[in-house]
Amino acid sequence: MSAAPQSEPRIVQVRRNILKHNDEVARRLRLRYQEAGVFVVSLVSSPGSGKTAFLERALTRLAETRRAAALVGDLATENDAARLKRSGVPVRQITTGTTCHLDAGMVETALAGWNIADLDFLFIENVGNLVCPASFDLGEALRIVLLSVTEGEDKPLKYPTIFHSSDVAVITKMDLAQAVEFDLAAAQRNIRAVAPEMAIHCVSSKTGAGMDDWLNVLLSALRAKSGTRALP
Amino acid sequence: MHELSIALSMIDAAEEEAAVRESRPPVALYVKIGALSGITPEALSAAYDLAREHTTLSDCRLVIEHTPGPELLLSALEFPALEFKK
Repeated sequence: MSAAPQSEPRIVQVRRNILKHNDEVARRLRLRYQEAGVFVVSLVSSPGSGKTAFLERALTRLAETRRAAALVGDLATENDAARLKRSGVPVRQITTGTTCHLDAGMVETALAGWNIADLDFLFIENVGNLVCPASFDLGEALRIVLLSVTEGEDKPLKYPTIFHSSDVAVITKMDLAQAVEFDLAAAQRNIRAVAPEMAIHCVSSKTGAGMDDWLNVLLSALRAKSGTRALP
Repeated sequence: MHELSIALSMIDAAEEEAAVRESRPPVALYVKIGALSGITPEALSAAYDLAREHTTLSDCRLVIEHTPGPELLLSALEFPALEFKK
């Protein structure tokens, strides 16, 4: 008895990035930011590491000379948006529900009807999470990862992906460094073990220490970008 | 935690790629998950099992290949053998 003739199973090579859709939206956003001349900075960190305090301080200072705005992602509540509004800049909240990260589509939806060409800086505060946001491109020009002194020096080694995917590391709550016996050299070593070229800044959002250096970095990034934008 | 998002994206991507190639749903998805991708393969497998229900991939296996880099790649689709009636 012979079986019915049968072809071989067929394996077709696809080689497609699983996050292709997110990456396409991010590319569209990046073009839109470039055309609008707005420098987009995203912030990632674990919950409670001081993203909102840092941003509040930075926005208040930047608003003196530049036009800035912020998008804030959170699972629930609009508390962070309410805090950031005190800096006087436009703020929009993205409430993600149970989703543990922002994706490019959420940012695009939140920007609907917003004339971003009026802005110099747009900050996107991601959901507090050191794992999930790493995979999702939001079209930002600069991704900052925050590490607070109270979290311990070994966070970069425990969560290498997020440090690897970021451009700049900012160590926050430096005013508490002594009290928690924070070892700055070890933290810097650990960050560089994961991301050897990473620029590292130390700030205290409470006292304002280190903020000048940090804001200068942003302002020179904006100037550098304006330069390229003037080219055809 | 974001493996469910990734599983849903993967299913959308596979359904799209399958639709332009064959009218039958695939029987296996081959994916490459890099060690630097931020994705836990076990969690992705579990998320995929939940997410594939009620889709054209409900009977489709997931085959994960571990790679050292940042890849998050749908590398291939396997379509079933054709049976010819005698």
